[in-house]
Amino acid sequence: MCGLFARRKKQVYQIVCIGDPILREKAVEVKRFNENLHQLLDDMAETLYAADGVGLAAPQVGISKQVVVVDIGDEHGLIELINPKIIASEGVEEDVEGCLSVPGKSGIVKRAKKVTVAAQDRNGKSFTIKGEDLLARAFQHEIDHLKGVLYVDIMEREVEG
Amino acid sequence: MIKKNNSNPKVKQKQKQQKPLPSTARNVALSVLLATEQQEAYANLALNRFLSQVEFAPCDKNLTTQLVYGTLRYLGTIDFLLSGFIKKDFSAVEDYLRWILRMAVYQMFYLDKVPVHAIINEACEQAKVLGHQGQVNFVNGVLRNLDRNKDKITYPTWSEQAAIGKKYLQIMTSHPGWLVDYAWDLFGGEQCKAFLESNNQTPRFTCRVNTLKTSKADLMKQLQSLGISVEPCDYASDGIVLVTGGHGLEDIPAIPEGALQPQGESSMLAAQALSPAPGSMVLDLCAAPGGKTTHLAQLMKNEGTIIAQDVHEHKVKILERNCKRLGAEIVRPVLGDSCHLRETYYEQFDYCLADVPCTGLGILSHRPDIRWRKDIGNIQELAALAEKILDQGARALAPGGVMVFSTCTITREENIDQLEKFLARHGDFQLESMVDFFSQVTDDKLKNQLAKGWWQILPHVEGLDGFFIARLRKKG
Repeated sequence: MCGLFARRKKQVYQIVCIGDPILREKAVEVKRFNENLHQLLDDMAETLYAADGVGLAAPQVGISKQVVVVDIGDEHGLIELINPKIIASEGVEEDVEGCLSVPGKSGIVKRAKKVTVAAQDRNGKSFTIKGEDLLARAFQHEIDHLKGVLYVDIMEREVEG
Repeated sequence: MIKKNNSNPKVKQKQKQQKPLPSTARNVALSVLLATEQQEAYANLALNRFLSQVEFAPCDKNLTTQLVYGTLRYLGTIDFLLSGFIKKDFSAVEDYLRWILRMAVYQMFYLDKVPVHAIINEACEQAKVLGHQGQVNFVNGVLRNLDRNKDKITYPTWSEQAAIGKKYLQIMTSHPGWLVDYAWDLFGGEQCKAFLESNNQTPRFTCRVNTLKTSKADLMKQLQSLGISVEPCDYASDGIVLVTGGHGLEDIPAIPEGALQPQGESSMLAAQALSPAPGSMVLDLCAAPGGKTTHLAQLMKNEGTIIAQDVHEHKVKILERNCKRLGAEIVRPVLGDSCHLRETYYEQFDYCLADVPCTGLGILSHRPDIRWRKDIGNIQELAALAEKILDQGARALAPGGVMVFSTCTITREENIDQLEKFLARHGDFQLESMVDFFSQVTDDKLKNQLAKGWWQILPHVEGLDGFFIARLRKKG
């Protein structure tokens, strides 16, 4: 079969919810930057937009890999992060946060106001990206997923809505 | 609150508007001692607060500290000495006069570098500023009389017979009666005496090397080059004993840099008994100020996650600061009540440290005021609180997970009894040997104890702070 037809259609994953043990696993580092990874990234983006979220980590679609997609709807557009790590952070800010894996709930979470993330892109090239406010919050929230940490573990308190 | 001789409700003490005392070591020490009674302040905190308001040379700072801690440590003996020379009810004496007298007696009987007439003059001077001439005469009279007759004082004598022995210990080791009774029942006469006497010894100054920032060998070399003699701890793998040799703590750069953390050796052993694997998920139930939490992070090589919970907001902030200074990046400080864990924690953790609130009777040598602040009722009260926290810790562990239960006390109710009750309630838990985590232990008897999965460290036996440490595994 030629490449054109081999390309799978983008698919929307079912999002795994709290209680599923995969959300508590340490996600595995990505070593191979191949077609499978690209397909995963595309499908995760599709899932993110379908769910109307701002960020999604691979464990949330049942795949324990260090892969994150973020789109907060600003000029950055879609950000793909492979093997991301926070290398610097600054300031503290409290804000309301929710999670696609904890449906119908939200809580106040204290996070760093600014962070710098080091990661790789879909081809394995290293880069750093800075984020402030919502973007910084999304980075921290998604990177927590890769460690098995959910916002409900560290929230100050739950809030209505 | 210092309870001694302050229990007469009939006596209403007039709160005289106090004139400021000149900033000398003796006057600052008096202010601290008064604050421990009037404001129920902790001596160490009040001492830091008052010292931060004055600019003292190191020798004056040291003298102030010595006067405060010494007077509080020997309060029982001091009040016995005074009682023979004061005709009226000592608790009816104005509180500032009581502390002026106590501090003077401490200096007369426990310090040898100050001449007696100077001590008495200073005490009279203090009474003059704070009171009236009649009180000056009183202070002068009591102290001179005591000095003249000090060779005629009849001290109680030691006996293994309870009634006599307890009286001796209460006065000569300066402990409240209830604590003497309790320790006598727990240890028997001779061991009780050894325990109470150990509480009056100056503890060794130990620190934990922060292996996230340096190595033990490098840091020991660095300290030796500063003229500080150091030696490794007996049991704690990352611990060292410091003989500060004239250096104040502030002169050791490794402490603010986070390479060295002042910490008691027994406290290090709690985290060592848990030794969580790098990459694991850990819950620290009563984390602040974070001595053990940051130790866990270093044992995990900063890989994995530690949810570090504490119930007091201001203490969570202290925990955050300590984690930052020590570079414990995997710690997530969280405000929360460990008696009511959030349900999302249930069955989520590979390891749990339950360093539960306790009476602190194992660390009396560090904090001379603590013995006067406790009473027998605290034991049951704190055991009940700890029981709730342990049950929550048990729920938070995933099947196969490991919990370390620790306290810094010596009571059966809070330690071994608590452990037995826990095991009776939780059939899915069993004790696990700790031998592998104490590689420095060579003594066979101690090895056998560690193999049982629990260790009651006693100050008069091991020469360390009195801690209880047990390691438990949840069935997989």
